[in-house]
Amino acid sequence: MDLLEYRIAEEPFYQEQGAEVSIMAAAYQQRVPVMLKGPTGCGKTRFVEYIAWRLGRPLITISCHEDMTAADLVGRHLLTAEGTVWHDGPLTLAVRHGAICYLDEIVEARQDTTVVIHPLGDSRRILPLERHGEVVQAHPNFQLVVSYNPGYQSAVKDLKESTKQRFVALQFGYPDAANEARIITREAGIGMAEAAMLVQVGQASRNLRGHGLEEGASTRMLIHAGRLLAGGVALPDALRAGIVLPLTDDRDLQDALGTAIAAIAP
Amino acid sequence: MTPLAVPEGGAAARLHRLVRYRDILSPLLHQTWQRLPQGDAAALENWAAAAAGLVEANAGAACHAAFWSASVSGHGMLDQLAIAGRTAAAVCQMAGAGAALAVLDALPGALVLARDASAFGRWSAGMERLAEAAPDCVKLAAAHTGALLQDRSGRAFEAFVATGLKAFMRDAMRCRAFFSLQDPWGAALLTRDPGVPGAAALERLLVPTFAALWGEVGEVRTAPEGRVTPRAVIQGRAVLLPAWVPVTTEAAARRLYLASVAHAGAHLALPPVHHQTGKLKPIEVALVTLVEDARVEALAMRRFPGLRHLWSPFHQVRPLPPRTAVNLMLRLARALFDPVHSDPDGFVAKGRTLFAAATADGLDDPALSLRIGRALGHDLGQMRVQFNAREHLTMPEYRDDGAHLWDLPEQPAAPLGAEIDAGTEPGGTGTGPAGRARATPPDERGAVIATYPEWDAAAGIERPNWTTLRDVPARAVDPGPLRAAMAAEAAVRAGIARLVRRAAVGRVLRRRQPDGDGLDLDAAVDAMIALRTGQVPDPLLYTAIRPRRENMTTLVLLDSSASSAARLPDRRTVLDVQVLAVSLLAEALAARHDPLAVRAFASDGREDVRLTRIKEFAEPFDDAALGRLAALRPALSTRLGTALRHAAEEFGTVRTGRRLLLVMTDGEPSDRDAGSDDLVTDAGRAVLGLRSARVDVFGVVLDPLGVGSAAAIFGRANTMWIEDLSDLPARLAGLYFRLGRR
Repeated sequence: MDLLEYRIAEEPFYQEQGAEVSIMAAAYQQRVPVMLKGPTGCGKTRFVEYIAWRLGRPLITISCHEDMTAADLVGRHLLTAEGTVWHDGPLTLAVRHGAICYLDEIVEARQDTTVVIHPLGDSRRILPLERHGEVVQAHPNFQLVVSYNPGYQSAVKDLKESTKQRFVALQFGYPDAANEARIITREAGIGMAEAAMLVQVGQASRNLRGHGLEEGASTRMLIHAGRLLAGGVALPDALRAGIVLPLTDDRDLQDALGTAIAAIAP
Repeated sequence: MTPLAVPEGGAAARLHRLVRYRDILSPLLHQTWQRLPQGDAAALENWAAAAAGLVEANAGAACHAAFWSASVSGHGMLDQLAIAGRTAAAVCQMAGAGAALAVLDALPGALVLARDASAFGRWSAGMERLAEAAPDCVKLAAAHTGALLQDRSGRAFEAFVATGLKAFMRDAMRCRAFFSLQDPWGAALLTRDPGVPGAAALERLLVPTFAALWGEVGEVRTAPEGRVTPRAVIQGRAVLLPAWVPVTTEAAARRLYLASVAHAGAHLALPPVHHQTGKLKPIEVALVTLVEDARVEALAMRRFPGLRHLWSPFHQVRPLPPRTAVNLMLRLARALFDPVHSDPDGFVAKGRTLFAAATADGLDDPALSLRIGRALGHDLGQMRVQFNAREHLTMPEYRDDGAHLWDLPEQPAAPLGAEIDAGTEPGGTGTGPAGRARATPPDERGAVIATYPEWDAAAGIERPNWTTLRDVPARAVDPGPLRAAMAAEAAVRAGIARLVRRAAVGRVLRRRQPDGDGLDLDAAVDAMIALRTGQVPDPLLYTAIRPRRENMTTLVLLDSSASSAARLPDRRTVLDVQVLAVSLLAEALAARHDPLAVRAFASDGREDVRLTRIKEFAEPFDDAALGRLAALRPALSTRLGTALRHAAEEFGTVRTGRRLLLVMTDGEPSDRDAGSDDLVTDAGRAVLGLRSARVDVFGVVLDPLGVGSAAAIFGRANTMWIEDLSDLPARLAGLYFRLGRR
């Protein structure tokens, strides 16, 4: 099975921020599981897509959520007219056929679900399928990547130590201003001056962390606002619709951000 | 004497009976009565009732004479006069006849200034409030009625009394100075329009605006009460905003404060400047400050060009006489701020030329302000224009006072710092009367429930039986307002209802489900048999993990110490919001039949740690429990360790299921007879004790900056810091249901 539908055909745009590509390449060479840490919308998913493209491996992405069960990951029996049929879950698929399996926002899943990846994360590299009575030995090309956002991490949402310690970690953050402007220009199709202004607005919103916002505007959010601009929306409307309103429902915070935006982009 | 037409059986008859045998008063009343407008019998009767009340209060002949005389000259305003009479009687009872006489002497003036009934009502109510809280200040305030009712609406007076009592009720001398208008802050307060929000009310806008623009360069606060601050003050990294600004609309106040925080941030974003006053003349100091303001604003506008729109409405001075120092400095400020504005004055033009020349090479050097300011100061000195250094304020009004630019003698800085600390400390002098520890006689302290040990960090020992816990019976009030507040939180309630529906404590494997993770083998066999025998198989073939309800017993420990009296911009106290949050949670849990108990605690020394039982585990969450919650008032201190130890005892009776202790506090244990470090360590040890007894302890902590001791007590992972108090109800309920699923 070559998992054609999971292959990335074209090179995704990715602006390297540090040594993350070389660290990831080394980790893949040694098949060490990798954890990507960083705030939402800073490029973690894009990075995995880029790596999958570079390595020429299929990428199976699983968005984790609270109601996800172990069976959602490893698979389950289904009943047909002929009898029961085992159906591989996405994780098993990746393990069997040597894909990169990317568990996005892993802390969203319950801790008793995420323990299924433990035997894959150490030297055993196996996935026991209890219900199927099978132990799948991971394909030599299988690679496990997870992401999580420490900003959301709270007392009730955290990874088990035993899970954390199976990974090497790459810290992601928002790119520096120049790089972020380049990314916005490239992704939204707007000029550098407008992109630089968006970056400044992004920074103003990130200053509001701890002043009512859990997170400031992500690079992704700035790109969305940039796309509105590219689509002909006037600057104040694009900033309000693309950044202010999605970020907060609080009127005072909206006004505060509006004042900062007016100062940046009169 | 002419016989009087007095209706029998009414207040007027009573009044006449009361003074019938008093030689002086009787004829005086006779004359007064004849001269009162007789047209409105009801109003007359009302007046007579008030006058009779004054007699019954034993106010004395001088008071009656004053009241009757004011009534005769009272322009027929019988209703207002009746109010005044009742006020005088109340004042007499609370503050004595002298105070009542002072109020009555002020009455003619008050009737002129506060003609409107509601305005007059505010004046009377203010006097009564004063008589109750600060009796010796009634005469002082009454003597200044003219000044106090200048706004003619009574609102300024109402706010003046409330503010004065809040700030100085515990400081008799300052209180007297305040109400006799000797205190500059008190006098300045009268210029405030109570309908316009001050800095405290706008903090939710101003603090994030400052942060969004300038990041972590400093923090914005409201100047402490009791200090005249016509301009913002920068002290260290703190920007202290004037508590109010002399404008008449909310929009104008917002504009001024926003301009002010943007300007102060522009200073703080640059390296600090410390000029030496040395031999500089005051006018030179003022001009150097003005040029420095222009320099930092020019730099700020390079980064944020839109700031020009924020500041330009304050630079509207026109190039017209008089040629006074103030006028010329305002014009110079505009010329330096606005390069296209034209001003023909030679002094202004010179300032602009010097500034343009100096800044052509860059704006980074603060020495340019010193150079230009001195040169201009010299010129202004030569012009012999008048400059009053004592009364000079930086201009325009959004700019800070500039004191931070100068190495001034020490004396202003030190007391200011002390005042800030006092004003911001929880339960400090700024928190007002509600923060006061009320003395309680021993017999009212409640029954002793238990004694507990306490950790003595210095000695490194646990002192046995060190604290005494008392059971203080809960008071109850009408739960109506609390119910209304709960009803107003429709969105939060809906959110909690969703959580209730989703909530699951534990999981259980259920068989024969329509979908699920695994096949139910028995069902599968049955289905295959059905298929092979040509029957329709039952589609319930799967096993699924479903939520299982498991007992979770929850105890909420509510810190009702004085620090919870702090007010939010919407005037609610911290305790109000805590009570609302607990009510909404209790309502949701009652619907699920999850056992919940609520206790409030406060302390006044180790012998008097008070526990109030609001709701028991088995008790329904009804109006009675709600009334007890609503009756909680902030007072005293926080001896958290003792309350935690007692919670462990209470859980001792709960044998099954999970046990959860939610502690709602500001995270700062304190008490009058113990060091904070001792109490923090003690509370931390109590939490460890609870954990070892398999009680999950979680701190819900109202410490937005996370600078308190909560992490040391509950552990970082078991603390939820509340940044925005208005989110508390939703976050508390969210926490409960998330913990339930852990």
